[in-house]
Amino acid sequence: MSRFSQLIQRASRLPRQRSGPCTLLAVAYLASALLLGAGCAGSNQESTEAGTDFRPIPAKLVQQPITEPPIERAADMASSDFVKENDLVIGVALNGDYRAYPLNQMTGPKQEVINDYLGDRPILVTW
Amino acid sequence: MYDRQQEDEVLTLFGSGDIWQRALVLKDRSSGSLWSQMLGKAMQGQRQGQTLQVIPTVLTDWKTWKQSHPLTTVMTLPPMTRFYDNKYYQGRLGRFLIAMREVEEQPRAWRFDQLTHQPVLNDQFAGEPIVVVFREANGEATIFDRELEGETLTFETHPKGFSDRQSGSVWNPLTGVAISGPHQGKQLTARTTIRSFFEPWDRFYPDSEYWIVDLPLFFSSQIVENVGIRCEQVSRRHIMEQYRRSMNLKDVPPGQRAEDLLDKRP
Repeated sequence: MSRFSQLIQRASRLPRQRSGPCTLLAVAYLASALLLGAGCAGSNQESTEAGTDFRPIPAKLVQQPITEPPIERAADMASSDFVKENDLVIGVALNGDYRAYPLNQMTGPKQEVINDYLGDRPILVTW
Repeated sequence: MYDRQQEDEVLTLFGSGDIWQRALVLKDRSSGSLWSQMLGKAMQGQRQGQTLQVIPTVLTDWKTWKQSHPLTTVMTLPPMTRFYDNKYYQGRLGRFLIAMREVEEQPRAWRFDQLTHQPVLNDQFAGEPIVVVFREANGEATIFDRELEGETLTFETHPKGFSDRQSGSVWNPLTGVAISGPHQGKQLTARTTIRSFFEPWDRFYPDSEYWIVDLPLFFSSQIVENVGIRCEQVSRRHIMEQYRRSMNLKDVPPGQRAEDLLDKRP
């Protein structure tokens, strides 16, 4: 998002809004947000409460669902190509089951959302 | 990480291709409803208003995880990138944060650039004593309850992890298990946390509290004894300015602790 529209956004968040110029600025801001496809949902402060201002912006490829990805035991892993010692992983421990999801395997454009089971718990891993 | 189980079915979700407030929008296969990745909530479609239960996770490096959990399994999809290793945070610590949110409570976030000043931080969330433990070497941040068997512990740094002042036991920062001392074998309760980039967090939770060390001088009255520095209401402008500064990393003294900073205050 441009510095300009950030400034406008800041201005439109001010509690005391003067009628003339501010309204114009807010309108200009909304228009520019739409045109630029910037990933922000306007200046509504209560955006998390209601779904009313839910305005998703197409920015990526539609992904194919990934279900039950290949899993190996760390002790049996034949090749270290999948994860190196210093690689970052998301780790989860559930009822004595442990699993690591290497971040390098969870990046776009196709592999950001993983549907898996750990034990009998259906889990969703995202990055 | 979320539980996919809903009352009537197990959901299968995928990336919808959309972004909302700088975070992914997911779609479920059966109803086509759109879900916010950050909120774990259906925002549009048949399932609007339904939520996914959060499952607690940690983010650490493979070597550390494997060492603490030798029986672990690991996903083996072909890696798409190679840059997510423990050096990933270098030069942009201010971009990452760990946060807690609960219904009816003001969310609270700890930015990594701030945590470097006090890697073991005794703090509170929603009136409950918690400890935030940060390891700069691999960007690992975890949060535990400080209550153990009715006693409230106070923690400090220790070369092998972190230790409590009361008994001197040493604890593992990843698992919260005491590895030596009188409490050996006991485990602190891990709290459910969210890890996020600053930008989406700021959009979803513009009213979030931040734990901040780098304060302008007039905030020094906010210093709370023995709890480091807590600042409940830093102005939004200051947060943004500081964020930009931290991304340059020129003014952030690396490895300095809150106590050292305190001494220099007038």
